[in-house]
Amino acid sequence: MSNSDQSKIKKIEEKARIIRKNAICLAFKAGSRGAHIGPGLSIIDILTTLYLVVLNYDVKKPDWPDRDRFILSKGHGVLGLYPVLAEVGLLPFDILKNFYHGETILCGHPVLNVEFGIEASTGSLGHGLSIGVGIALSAKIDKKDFHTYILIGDGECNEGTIWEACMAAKKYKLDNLTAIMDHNGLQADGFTKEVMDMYPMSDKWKSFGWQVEEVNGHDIKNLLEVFNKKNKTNAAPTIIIANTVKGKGVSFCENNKMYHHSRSFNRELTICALKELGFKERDIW
Amino acid sequence: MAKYTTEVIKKLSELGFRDTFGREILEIGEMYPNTVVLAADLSDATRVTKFSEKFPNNFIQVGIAEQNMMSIASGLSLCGKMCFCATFAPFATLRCCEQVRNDISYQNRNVKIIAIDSGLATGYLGVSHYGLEDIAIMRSIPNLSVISPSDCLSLAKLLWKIVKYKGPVYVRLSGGKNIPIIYHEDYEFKIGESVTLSEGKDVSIFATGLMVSEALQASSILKKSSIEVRVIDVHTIKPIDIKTIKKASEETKLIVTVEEHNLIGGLGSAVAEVIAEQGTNSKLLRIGLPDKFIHKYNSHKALLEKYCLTSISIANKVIKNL
Repeated sequence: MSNSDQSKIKKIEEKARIIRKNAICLAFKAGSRGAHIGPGLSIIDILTTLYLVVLNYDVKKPDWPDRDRFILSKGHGVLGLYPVLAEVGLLPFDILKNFYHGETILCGHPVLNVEFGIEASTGSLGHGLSIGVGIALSAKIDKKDFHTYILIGDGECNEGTIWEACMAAKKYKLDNLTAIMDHNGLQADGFTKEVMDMYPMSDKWKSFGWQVEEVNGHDIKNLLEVFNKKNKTNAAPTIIIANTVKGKGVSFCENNKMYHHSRSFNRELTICALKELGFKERDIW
Repeated sequence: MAKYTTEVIKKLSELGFRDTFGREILEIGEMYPNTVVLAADLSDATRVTKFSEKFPNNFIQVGIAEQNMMSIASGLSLCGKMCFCATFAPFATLRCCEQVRNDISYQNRNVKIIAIDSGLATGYLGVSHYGLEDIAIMRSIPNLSVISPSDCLSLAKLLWKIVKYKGPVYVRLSGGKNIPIIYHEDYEFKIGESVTLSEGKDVSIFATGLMVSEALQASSILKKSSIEVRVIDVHTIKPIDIKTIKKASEETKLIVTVEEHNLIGGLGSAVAEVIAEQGTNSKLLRIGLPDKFIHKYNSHKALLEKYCLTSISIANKVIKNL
């Protein structure tokens, strides 16, 4: 690994740390109104890597027709999305700070707003991958080179529409579509394997004709390798199964379904969480 | 735009709604290169096979997966495509209601949903294939226009209007062939503006879809009893034509609505909402399907007769209520 690669990784890791801090501030802001903390923290390393180095977009021209698209199909993960969009300059910080605060355009699930980098409204699970298929199909029709990335949850794969989209993407040879699965093993009611056993997960996607990659979703080096591997030759869509930890970065949230959606993120917990991330009380906003 | 001569109108009426759509979509594809047609294993039934042959790159076959079809259309439209999703009325509304709401209407996408064989048109196929709740459901979704043409020319004309409107539309069609002709060459379709087909001072009948023809015939029957009927074609159920309903409720004693739909939530409800808010004292008679599942099946025609959705039944009900 070259020095420039190492410094790139370090930069992403540092940004991810700041973004996690901001995600915690959003949880604090939501307070007793509740926020999906675990599902947001688990995707931050993936999203930071995507927005910092993988996606091709222009902050000054967010509606550039040839931009790569990213859709958060597991829409309840906004704590992981909004701070990333703010960090790269797509979403103004003063709007971010309005999250769950008075009248706001930022709710608990993304709402289509290309100006701020939100490519589709999601929230009800099992829709985003199909929307992504539509976008990727449009790129094929228009012979455009942009790539579409859809982040889905592992629990989200309980929805039948995921598999409808999965079949359509294979049929239309959408090698310009990449699904990323936040494979954290937990969903609202408990362990994904117990709520609805979908294993072997990789084999399912392989049997549907997808190219499957597995990655440690918190290892930036590993993520970069997989994203760079984008295979354009086999005319099939790709899924990156990213093994993640729900609540990653805050010990008491990790693998704790209590923090899938929590209404108890008070100042005390926020200080604890920030401390673990190397921040201080004064960093709360 | 295609020229609709008397011969063409006659031909379209003979062929019915499905073939009229199939014919027009071919020309729309020609005129608007961003047109994409999606099918959920019903491309023959919805008459888009010719489109798929002529524009193979702009035709998406998703298989038996209506929910996926609607969301894919949303994605395509996010990149500037104008999408047409065609399937049977219950599959286009009940099966994928959430996709129509969240992915198409909420995001205000340029997607046109073409629902074939609504109402009781599928006759012997049974309740699973009837479209009797579709107006109620689609009417309650913001951004979505709900249109139900009364004849084939009206369908052709409305298609050329909705392609100029960059938003979601639900087009409710009936089935069968030999559709009665209501309109002629000079007809101009305007979204949201109902058409007063006959003037009358005693009764106003608001009808939609195939019921417009029945209402017109009912008015001829009633004329023999010296009852003058105003017949209004409510081709656009949403946005509803408030002005015309208000005028009728001020000028005629009895307001009648006729629809091939459950009495809950359809045209009758839409008209009732307007009248109630206007505060006029006109009496309202709603004619439609009772809020009960059908358990005895028959042909479309026979079912319409059984459920009093014919000109004679309408005329009799009007006389009883005057």
